[in-house]
Amino acid sequence: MSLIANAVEASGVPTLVIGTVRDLMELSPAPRAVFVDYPVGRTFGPPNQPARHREVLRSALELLPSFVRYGQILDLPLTWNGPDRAWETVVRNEIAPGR
Amino acid sequence: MPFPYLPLMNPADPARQRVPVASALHAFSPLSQPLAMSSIALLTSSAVRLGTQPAFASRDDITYRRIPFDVPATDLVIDHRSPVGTDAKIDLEVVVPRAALNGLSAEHVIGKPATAWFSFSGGIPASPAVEDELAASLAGELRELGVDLALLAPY
Repeated sequence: MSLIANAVEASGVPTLVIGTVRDLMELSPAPRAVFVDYPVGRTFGPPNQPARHREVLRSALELLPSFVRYGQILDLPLTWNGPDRAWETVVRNEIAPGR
Repeated sequence: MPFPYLPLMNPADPARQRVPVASALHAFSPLSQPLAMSSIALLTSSAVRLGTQPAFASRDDITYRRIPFDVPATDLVIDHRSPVGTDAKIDLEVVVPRAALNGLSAEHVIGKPATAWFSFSGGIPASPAVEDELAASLAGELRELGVDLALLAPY
């Protein structure tokens, strides 16, 4: 996705990447990126929670004025379920069962 | 601390591991106008398409689909075979937030959604073709639509 963001940005259209995989986002920088600490595949929240989807999108867009240089990754101050990170086990089992 | 995805996403065999590619372009374009006046386009790597459009290939597919913004979700198909796609199949909004974008337009946070959004496959290893062909085509589409900001959501 960052390759596409870079090429689109180079064509003159500003871009914003909103992603959940921070280690990949760091290795493949986009012009502007917002990190959401949500499980991969659910960037805007759990299914059928439209208010939450809008909150994520609004929060990401509100960060736009804070980007001052290429390659910045800004963190959204949101959590999937407070301090409970049980979702990590779910994601681990989805991506690499048994590892 | 963010969840470390890369060790899980790559195969255990080092010979089969993919190295993330960084673009050499490093462009940084200023926003041309306030967000409240901006047209915003969504781009997703979820390989979603209209049921009437050709299916995405399972590997190395650098094509994309242009999809009208307001098309019903029931007309859409997800070709992405990722094991993390269970929730997107229940509610596509978790990766393609069209309703959220519409809502922010109604609140005058943004100007309006672009009349089309764009979908392609993620994790394509053919990086020169991704930048030179896929991204170049998408950039042309976005300019044609008069988009002020492209919002890219990896799957």
